[in-house]
Parts: sequence; structure tokens; C-alpha cells
Amino acid sequence: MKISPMLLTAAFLNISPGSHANAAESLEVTGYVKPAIASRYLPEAVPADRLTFGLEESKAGLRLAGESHSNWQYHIYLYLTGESLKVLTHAIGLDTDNDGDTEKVFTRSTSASRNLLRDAWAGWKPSGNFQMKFGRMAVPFTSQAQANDTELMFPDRASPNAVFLHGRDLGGLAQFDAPAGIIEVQAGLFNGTGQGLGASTEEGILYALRLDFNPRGAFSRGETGQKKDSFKYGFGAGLIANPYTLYDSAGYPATGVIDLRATTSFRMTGNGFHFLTEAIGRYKTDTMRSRPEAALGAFGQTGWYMKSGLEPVFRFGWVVEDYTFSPRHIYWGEAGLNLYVHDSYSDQKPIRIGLHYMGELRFTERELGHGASMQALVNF
Amino acid sequence: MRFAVLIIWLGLTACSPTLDDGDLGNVRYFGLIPGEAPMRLLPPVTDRNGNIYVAYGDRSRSDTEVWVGRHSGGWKSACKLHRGDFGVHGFVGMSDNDAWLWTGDAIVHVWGDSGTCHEVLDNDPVTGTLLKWKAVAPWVRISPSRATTVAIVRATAEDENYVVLLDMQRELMTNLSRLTPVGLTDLKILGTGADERIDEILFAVSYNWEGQQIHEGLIFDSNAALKRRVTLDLDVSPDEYAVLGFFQSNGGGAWAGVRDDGGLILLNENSGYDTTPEFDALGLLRTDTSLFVTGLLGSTSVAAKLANNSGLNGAREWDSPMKAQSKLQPPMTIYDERNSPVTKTSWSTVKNAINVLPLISPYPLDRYTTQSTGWLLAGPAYAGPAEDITSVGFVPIGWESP
Repeated sequence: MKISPMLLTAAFLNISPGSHANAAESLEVTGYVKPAIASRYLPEAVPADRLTFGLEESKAGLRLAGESHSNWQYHIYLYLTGESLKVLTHAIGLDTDNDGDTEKVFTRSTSASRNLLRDAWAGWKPSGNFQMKFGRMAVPFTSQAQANDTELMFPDRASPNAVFLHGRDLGGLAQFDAPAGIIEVQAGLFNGTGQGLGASTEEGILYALRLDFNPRGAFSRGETGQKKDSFKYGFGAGLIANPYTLYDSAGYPATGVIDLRATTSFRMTGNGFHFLTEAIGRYKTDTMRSRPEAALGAFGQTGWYMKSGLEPVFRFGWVVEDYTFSPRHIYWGEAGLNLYVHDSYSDQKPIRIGLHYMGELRFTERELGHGASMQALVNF
Repeated sequence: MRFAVLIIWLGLTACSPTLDDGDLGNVRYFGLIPGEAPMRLLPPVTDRNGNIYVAYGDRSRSDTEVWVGRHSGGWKSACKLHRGDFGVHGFVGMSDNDAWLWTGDAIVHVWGDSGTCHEVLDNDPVTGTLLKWKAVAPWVRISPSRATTVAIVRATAEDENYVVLLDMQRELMTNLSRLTPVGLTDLKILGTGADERIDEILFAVSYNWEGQQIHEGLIFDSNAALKRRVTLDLDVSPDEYAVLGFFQSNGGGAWAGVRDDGGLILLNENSGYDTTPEFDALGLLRTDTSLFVTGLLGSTSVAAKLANNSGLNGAREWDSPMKAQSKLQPPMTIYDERNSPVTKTSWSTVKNAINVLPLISPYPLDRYTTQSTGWLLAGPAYAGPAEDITSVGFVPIGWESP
């Protein structure tokens, strides 16, 4: 069984009283452009791949959000990025020795952009502290996954985050917070594949639960910049359970899989200081193989926004994949400097210029990689 | 942070389905194969994604065949591919979703996702002559930038042997150097081994140089740079590929190889020798910290630990193989994965399919999990035109260190 969140959304829309426009209608258009120059150095790679340099990390986003009706909200986030997907366009079998058999395949591929639609959800908010959302959105698992793309300390989320949960998914989510955001609860059902119905050989539901405890009240998940909030901190935990059936290429059930993921987090912010640490684990097993797959990871990051607009930032991350059969350890070390350029005579959002280094040590595979990027983040 | 990681780990693994010592997992029936147990089959290996690779073949035959079991279920007969006089040597490496098999003079790349095969660099791209892969390290070093192994290669048109770094994906030879001493003749490869923990590759060779017969262990690193030469003092003049399976290392400088005549070739950092232990040496077992020579003493499975100075400790009982053997009781429930959909049925007869007992093999045991390995079982058979045709299934078996 799969969830069809759009159908659910449509159903809710149909039963809502009155479909005429009213004073609650609003539309807010925001977005950002983030040109970035990035380079990567892999000493072990073949010469052609050893040093790469380009604008592939550049991104731009456009958000449309507002209220279409009393208690109903919508949010669309379009996302353009230099990240591309290699798409095979041509494949020709080659008989190199004229024996009638194909020895090699000549292929030609091209780059295609992906992730055009990042978020698209409709929300129903019957009260100030309860909301339900349906559509494509972030799964409420780690704390960092819920931060806005423009509010990250580094150009991207911590690499351990991406190992355990990547991208967005289709589903429904209930959010509750009380009192004053001291406790936040999020519970949702998602497809678990990040894809639409019938696009995968997996059939199941992903159950997600996230609890946050903020003793001094709710605060933004933004990780950077000058925050007006007084000193606040929060603890959090997330759990994902994704039982699904894996079907073979003929369409018959092959095995039942249980995929469990858990995370804990601690974050703190105040007076320009930002700190976040998260630990994440994954354990996947099935009914056939007696071969559980496990991974563990953690990261910590901190930054300090100074009055000059400068913000030095640091992050360290670690992941061990395939822990139950062939552990593969990966470490990341990152450091950088963000510079906020304000126009003191206006209320316009500041421009952020970032200069960052990222090192990746694939300890088990004995490979070290270096990366550097410079970006300018312009919000509108 | 460590505490948080520990809490998460304990919570997630509370219902762990791993196998205990001698326990058998689900049997996955994948094919009907010529022969009677023990069969002409190598211990299976798995890639990181969980695809399973099974090689049918023998040291003296040229009918090597590979099966692939997909991690999501279902099996495929991938290919029949072989070149050269000698038979199958063994799997030399695995990646996320592929494996490489060295058979005869050929290296075969097997893709787990598609279940197809391709011979790696069969011709010299410059001269076009056929290449003989005389020695291949049983380790493909995998990283985001590379999938390489170290090998000794010879072109059929000439009598020179080269040590090369072979890129398994791009099918390129780099770091090419002539095998020294220059002028050596009658090169015989006794066996190969590799230990990724210490970045060492062993080629045990025998050759004639200036009228002298020399036996040596050549230790290379994973970039094909020679680290040292170890003189072997061998009483028995060895045949080519005398070592069954591969040499294996204890991680502390000692290596062991099981010879086809029941003896052992043992090496430390400075010297090597051959010996015949007090028991029937039939296999090797590498754990995280040690290397054991395994075999039979009477009908009891035993293991003897190899010391860093290449001395062999006394044999002691290792009961994991016997525990696994005792569980081979018909009728045995199996999953027939030969075709879709998978069906659950049972075998009326069941035997160990490889060697004398489960878990005893001169080939490196695959890390199916940290304490289990993949193995093969033989089920019901029928009489074929030349020999019996036997049902074969894959099964993971739990084990404990001796």
C-alpha cells in the first residue's frame, strides 16, 4: 500500500466549507540565488579527475507560499541546481573481434538537471499549535534536515545526514507544539522511496516520528547569522520505521525488509553562537538473508557570528557504513568563514559570502579528498 | 556524542537476526550443477550490496561458470568464460555491486545488478597480443577514485613478465615494471595473497636465474611497488599454482598457503619454508586478529594458529564446522529462487557441497557478516549423461573463532 498525498489533500480541500476567495488569501514570493565556485582535489584519482573546478555547486530557489483559505496554507519550493544526473542517451554493442558476440558497449550520455520540485505541500492549521501537511516535504528525522536551505552553516548539510536520509518524500505530516514550543511533536507517513506510486520495486510505508524538547521555548532551526533570540537550547530525537516488501523484476514479492533509523540531537543558539550535534543510526534487516545492514554516524558543528558580520564555522563528521560485515569508516572535517554584508539603512536581507574548506578522509579505503568553495547567497 | 551513538546502536540492534556459531540461515536454491558432493564449486562471495557470486570450476578444467544471486532475490547464470590451460583460481575482489574472478589466464568482471560478465583486458592495447594474467592479487582496492589490483602479466608473443597496476574499471595497466631479476626464465607462480590491513600483496614465485632455481615471496604494495623479497627454503620443488586458493596473512607479517599435496608454505617478514603439519591441512581461517590453518585430525575439525614468526602453534579443536555439519538434516526447508516467484519447498537429501566440512576451505571465507560466511549445500541429484546433476543452494553459516 502506498500513500497518495495529493489525493488526500484534494479530499480535504473538497470537504472544507466554502470554496470562494476571502480576505485570508495571500501570496508571498521569496527565493535566493547562490552562485558558487567550487573545486575538488583527489590526489589518488586519474589525472583527468584529480582537480576539478567549476560552478556546479551553484543553486537558486523560488518559494511561493501563503494562505489560500482560512486555515489552509500552501508552499511550493522550486529548486534549480548545478547538480546533474548522467542520463544514458545512446548504447551500441561493439563486436571488437568479429566473432558475432558483443564484447564492449559504446555509450553516450548527457547531463540532466534534477530535483526541480523540492517542496510542494498544502497545510491545514485548525489551531495555533496544530498543523497537518500533505505533499512533498522534508521527512522530520534529523534536526538539520528541517533547516531551510538558506539557513545552513555550510553550503550543504553535514555529509552524515545525507548518508542516512537524502532528499524529500511524499506523504502526510502532523505537527503539534505546546506550550510556547517547549515540546514539539511531528509524526508522519511517507512513501519511503522519494518517488511516486509505481516508480519503485519497494512497497511500504515510512513512519516518521520526531520529538523536540526546548526548555526555553521554540527557536529557529537556522544555523547561521545574527539571531535576535536570547540564549536557547533544545534536545531532540527522531525515529523512522520503514517496513516494506521488495518485489523482483517479474513483479512477485521477493523479501520483506525492515529499515529502522534513529537519531538524537542537541542544539544551542544565542548571541550569535550556534551549535548543533547529532548522532544517527540505521539498521536494516530482511526475512531472507540473515545479513543485517547497519550504519552509524555523528557530526558536530559550531559557528560564532560576530558584530563585524564575520562568522567562523567548523564541522566534524563521521560515518561507519556496512558495520555488520565490512565496516567502512569515513571522516569529514570542514572549516570556513561566512561574511554577512548588511545595508545598515534598509531592512533588506543581508548577502552572505562564504569561503569553505571540506576534507574527506575515507579511512578504510585510504583515500583523502579536499574541496573548497566560495559562494554568495543573495536572498530576495 | 559517543553515548548518544551507543544508545541508538543498542536500540536498533535489540532484535538482531545474526547467526550463532554453526547456525544455518535460509537456504537459497539457485541451480542444478554437474557433479557429486563435494562439488567443483568455490566458496561464494558477496559484494557490499549483498549480491552473491558463485563460481563453478576446478583447477584442472576449463568450464568455469558464474552464478549471481541478487540481493533482492532471484538468481542468474551469469556466464561461462575461461581462457588458458589452468582452471579457476578464485574470486580476486568485490566492489559495491560487482566482483572479479581470475580463471586460467583471464580476469572476468561480473556485474551483480545485471548478472552479466566481461573479460578484463584480454589484449594488449598497444600490440594487440593476447595477455596472460599469470598472477593476480586477491584484492581489488576500491575507493571513490580507483578499483585497482596488482598483477603479473605476460604477453603471449614474448617471454617477459611485467608487474602492473591494473585498473579494473578502465581496463588500463599503469606502473608497469619488468619482473626482476632481468633474465629470469621458467617462471612459475606458486600462489598469490593479499592483506588490505597492512597494504601488502604476496606473489610466491619460483624461477631459474643464471642456472639456479630460486623460490621467493615478492611483497608489493597496492601501487605495485616492490616492498621486499623473501627467500623461500622449500624442500619440495613446487608445481605451478601449487597453493590451493590463496595465501592469507595474519596481519602481523606471517603468511600461510595450503599446498595441493597437503603441505603448507609459511612465510614471515624475512624467510619462508614448507612444512607438513600433524593434521590434514585443508584450509585457512582469517579472523580480525589471527590466521588459523584449519583441517581434520581424524574426524575432528581442528585449527592451528600462525605466529608472527610463521611458526605454527598446536592444533586445537574448532567445532564450528562440525556444528554446521550436524545441522544438515533432511528434510531441509529451502527457498527455490531459480525462477520467479520464489517458492518455499524442501530437500529430501542435503550434504555439504564444498570440501570435507562446512567452513573449511583454502579460499578466503567471505565476510557475509562479521561472524558468518556464505557456503553451498548440495541437495537432491539425478543421473545426468556423464555424471550426476545436483541441486545446489547458498546458505550463510555462523562461526566463532577457534
